Amino acid sequence: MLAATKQLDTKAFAEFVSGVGDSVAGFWPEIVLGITLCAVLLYDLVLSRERSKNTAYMAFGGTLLSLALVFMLPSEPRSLFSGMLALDSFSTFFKAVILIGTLVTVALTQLDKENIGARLGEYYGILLAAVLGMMLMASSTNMIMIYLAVELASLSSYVIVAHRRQSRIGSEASLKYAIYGSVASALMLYGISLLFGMTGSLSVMGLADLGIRMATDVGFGIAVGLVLAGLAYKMAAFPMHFWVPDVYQGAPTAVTAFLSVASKTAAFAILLRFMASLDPGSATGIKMADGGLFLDWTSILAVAAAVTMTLGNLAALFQTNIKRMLGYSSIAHAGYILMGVAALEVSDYAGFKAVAFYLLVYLFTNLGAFAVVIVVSNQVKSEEIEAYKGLGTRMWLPALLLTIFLFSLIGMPPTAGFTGKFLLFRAAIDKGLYWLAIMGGINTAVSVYYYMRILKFMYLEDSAEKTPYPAPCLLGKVLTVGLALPVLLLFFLGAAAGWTKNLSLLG
Amino acid sequence: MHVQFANIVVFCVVGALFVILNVSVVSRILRPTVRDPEKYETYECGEPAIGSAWIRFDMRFYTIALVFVIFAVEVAFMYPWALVFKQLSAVGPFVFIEMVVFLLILAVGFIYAWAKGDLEWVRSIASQRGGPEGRSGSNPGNQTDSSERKNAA
Amino acid sequence: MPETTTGALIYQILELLPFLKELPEFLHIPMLMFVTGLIPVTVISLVGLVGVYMERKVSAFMQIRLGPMEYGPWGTLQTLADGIKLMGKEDIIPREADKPLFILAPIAAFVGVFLLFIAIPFDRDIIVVDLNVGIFYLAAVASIEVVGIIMAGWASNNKWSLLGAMREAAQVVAYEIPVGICLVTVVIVSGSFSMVDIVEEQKGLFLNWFIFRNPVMWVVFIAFIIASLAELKRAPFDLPEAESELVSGFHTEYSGMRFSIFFIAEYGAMFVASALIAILFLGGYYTGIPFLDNIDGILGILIRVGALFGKAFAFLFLQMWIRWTLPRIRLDQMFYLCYKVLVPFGFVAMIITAFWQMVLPGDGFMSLGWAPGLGK
Repeated sequence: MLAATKQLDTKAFAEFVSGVGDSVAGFWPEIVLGITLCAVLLYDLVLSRERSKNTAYMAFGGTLLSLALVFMLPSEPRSLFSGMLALDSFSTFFKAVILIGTLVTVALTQLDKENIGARLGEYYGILLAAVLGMMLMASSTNMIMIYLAVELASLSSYVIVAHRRQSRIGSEASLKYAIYGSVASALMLYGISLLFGMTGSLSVMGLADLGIRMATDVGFGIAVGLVLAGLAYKMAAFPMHFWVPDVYQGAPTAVTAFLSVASKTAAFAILLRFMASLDPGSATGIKMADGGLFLDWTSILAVAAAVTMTLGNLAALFQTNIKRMLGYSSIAHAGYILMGVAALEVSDYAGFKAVAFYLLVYLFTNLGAFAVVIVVSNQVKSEEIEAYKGLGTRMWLPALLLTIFLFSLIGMPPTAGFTGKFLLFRAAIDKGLYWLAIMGGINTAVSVYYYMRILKFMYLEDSAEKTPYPAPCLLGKVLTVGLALPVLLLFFLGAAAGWTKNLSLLG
Repeated sequence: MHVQFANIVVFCVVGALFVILNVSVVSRILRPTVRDPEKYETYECGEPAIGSAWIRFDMRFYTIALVFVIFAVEVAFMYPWALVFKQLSAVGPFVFIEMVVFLLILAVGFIYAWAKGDLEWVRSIASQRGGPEGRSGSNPGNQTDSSERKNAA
Repeated sequence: MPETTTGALIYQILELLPFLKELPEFLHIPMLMFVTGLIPVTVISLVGLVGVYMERKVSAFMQIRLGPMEYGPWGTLQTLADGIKLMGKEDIIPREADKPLFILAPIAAFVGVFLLFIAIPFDRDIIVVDLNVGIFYLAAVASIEVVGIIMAGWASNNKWSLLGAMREAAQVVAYEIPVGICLVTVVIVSGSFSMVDIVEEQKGLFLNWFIFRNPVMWVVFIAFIIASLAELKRAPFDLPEAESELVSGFHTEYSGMRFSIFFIAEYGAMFVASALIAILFLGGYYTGIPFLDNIDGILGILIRVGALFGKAFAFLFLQMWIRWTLPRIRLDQMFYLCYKVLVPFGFVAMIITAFWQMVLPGDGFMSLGWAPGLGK
C-alpha cells in the first residue's frame, strides 16, 4: 500500500545541496542581474509612474555591479549546477562583453528616449531579461539550458523590438522576428532532441566522441546542422539572416545596437563551445551513404561564412537607410567572424582568440556607430543616408567619430577593426583556408564602397542648409567619444591584449 | 503498476458504455420519435435564430487562458517538490528556501499582472490603453502618450 | 500483495463471484476490472438519485415547502420516476448542431466524472485502484468534464450554450489554480500522492486531521471548498448555467437521456468533491474516535464507509445550503475572488504550511504537547 512513498536518499541530497551552494558562488553576476530585473519591474510598477530616469539608474547600477562580479569570479574552471553551466575564462569573457554592451545600451536608451517612448521601466526590465538569457547562453554546457537561455534572450528581444507600440514598422519587425525566430528555435530544439536520442545525454561535452562513433550516420549530421541553423538565426548568419534588415530598421535604435552586438556575441559564444566540443578538425561532418566524408564541419562553416559575408555586403550596397545598411553590414560581419570559427583549432585555441577579440572590437565599433546614428537623428530627425549630407561641417564631432567607426568596420588601420580582421584572416590562412581569406578580402573591398558612401555624403556633398546643428548633449558626447577611444586604442594594444589570449574552455 | 493504469482504460470504456447503453439502447426503446421541423430548430426563446453561434469570441477569455497556463505550469512544478518536502526538509532548510525563491519570482510576475490589470474582468478604457500610466489619467505628462496611442489606433 | 493486483477490492469480488475463476486465465484481470467498473456505475447512479432528491427536499424545506410528496413515502421515488420519464423523452439533435460532437459531449462529461471514482477510498481496502499519483490523477481527470461541457456548448450551435460553455471554461480554468495550490498544501503535509496514504496519515484522534495540522490549514480548507464550488459550477458560481439569463447554458439544446447524463455527471462530481474535502482535510473514512476506527471486520468497514458517506453528504448539504443562501455572483467578482483572494492567500498558506512542517515535523499543532498518548 505504501509503495508510493519511496525512501529518498537523503545523503545524496545533502551532497547535491552543498553542490548547489558551491555553484551559487560562481553565479552571483546572474543573480544580481535577476534581482535588478525584478526590482526595476516592481519599482516601475509600484513607485514610479513617469520617473524613468530612476529605472535607468537602477538598470545601469545593477549591470555595473554584475560586471564587477564577473571580474571577481573565481578563475579556475569548473562546472556549476551539476553540469548545467560552465565557469571558465571563456564564459567570463563573453559575459563581460555582453554586460559592457548592456551598459552602453542603457545609456543609449536615455539618449534615444524620445524615440523609445513611455514605459521605460518595462523596457529596462525586458532588456535585463534578455541580458540574463545571453549571459546564460555564454556559459551553458547543457543543451536544454542552451535552449532555455536562447529562448529567454529571444522572447525578450521580440518584445523589446516592438516597444514603440505606436510604431507600425516596429510591430511588423517584431512579428517577423518572432515568427522566424520560432521556426529557428523549433529547428534547434529538434536538433537537440535528435542528439539527445543518439547519446542519451544532454551535455555538450562529449559530442566529439559521438561524432566519431556516428561517423557514418547521416542523422548525426542533420542533428548538428539543425542546431547550427538555430544558432545562425541569433548570429544573423546565412541561411537564417533574412530577419535582420527589417528588425534593425524597425526597432528603436538603442535596441538595434543592443541586438547587433550582444545577441551576436552570445550566439557566437554558444557556437564556439558547441563546435569546440564537436572538434571540427576531427573527421566528422555530413557523410555520404558509403561512409565517405561529404562535407566536414570546417568546410560547412567556411561556406556559410563566405556566403554570409557576400550576401550581407552585396545587399548593403543599395541601402538608403543607415540602420538598414548597418543591418546588412552586421550580416557581413557575422560572416567574417564565422571565418574565425571555421578556423577553430581546439588544440591551440587559434580561432577562439581571433573570434573573441573581433567580437570585443565589434562591440565598441558597432555601438559607437549606432550611438552616432542616435545623436544625429536626434538633431536631423532622419535615418536616411541622404540626410547625412554636409554633416561634416554642420556637426563636426559626430561626423568625425562616425568616420572612425566606419573605418573600423571596414578594417582600416589605425582602428581596432584592422587588428581584429587581421587576426581573423590570419587564423583562416593558418588553417589553410586560403580561398576563404581571399573571399574575405574581396568582400572587404566591396564593403569599402558603401561605408565610404556615407563619408562622401558627410564631407564632399553640401546640403542646402549651412548653419551648424547645436552640439550634442553631454551624454551623447561622452558616449560617442568614449566608444571611439577603445576603437583607436585597441589597435595598439590589440595583439598584446592579454585578455583574449588566455581564454580556455571547460571540458 | 501498468495494470493499475489499465484499470483506468477499462473504466473509460465502462463509463462510455453506460452512456451509450442508456441513450442509444434503453432510451431508444422507450422513447417516441415524432418528427417535426420546428423541433429541430435552434432554441432561442421562440424567436428564429439569427446567424450561427460559431463566431469570434471575446478576447478576455484568451487572457484568462493565458494566465491559467502560466500559473498551472507553476503549480505543476510544485507537486514533485511537495511530495519530497516532508522527507527532505529534515535534511536542512534548503528545500524550503528553494521554494521561497521560486515563489518570490512568481510573486513578481503575479504583482505585475495584477498591477497591469490583467487579472480583472471589467477593465476601464484607460487601463486597457496600457497599464499604470494609463490609469493615472489626471497626470498631464501622460497626455502625449495617450494621444500617440490614439494616432496609432 | 503482488504487484499485478488492481487493489484488494478485486480479491474480495473474486471471493464473492466464484464463477469468475472458471474463466480462461487471460480474461481474469479484464473481467475483474469490468466488474469493479460496475460498482462505481451503481454508486454514481445512486448518488445521482439521492442527490437530486436531497436537493429538492432541502430547497423545499428552506423555502418552507414540502417538496415532492407524491411517489413513495415522502416522495422518495420521485427522482426514479423522473429518471424513467427522461428515458421516455424524445431525443432531439438540432439541425444546425455539430452532430458527432453533440453526441460525444455527454460521454466525455460522464466519463470524466466517472474516472474520478477510481481514486476515492471508501475504506482502506475499498478503493478501485490506489494509484501512487492519486491526488495528481484527480486534479488531472477533474478537468476532463469541462471538455465535455465545452464540446456540448460548441456543438449545440446555440448562443446561450456557447456563452455558457465559454464561461464554464474560463471559470473552471481559473479555479484550477487555487485547487492546485490547496492540493499541493495537502501533499506537503501528507508526503504522499496516494489517497490511502493521505487518509492513513490522519488516523487517530480527530486532532490528527489535516485541518488541525497547523494554524493556517483551515484557510486552505475554506479555499478548497470555495474553489470546488466554482469547479462544480454550483451556486453561487452557477454563471455558466444561469437559468435566468442563459437558459441553462451549455445544455439548452439537450433533452431526454442525454440531458440526464449531464445531470448524473454533475451530481457525481458534487459527491466526489464533497468526499474529497472529507478525505483531504477531515480524516476521510476515519471517524476521528480511535476506538471506533480500530474495530475490525464487517462492522468496522461499515462504520468507516458510513463515516465517509456521512461527511460527504454533510458537504453536499452545505453546497445546497449555500445555494439557497447566496445570490449568484457576477463574472468579474468570480475572477476577483479567484485571482486576488484565493490565489494569494493560498500561496501564503502553502508556504506557512511548509515552514510549519519543516520546524515542527510531528503530528501538528493541536496534538503538540497537551494531548500525549492520543496520537496514532
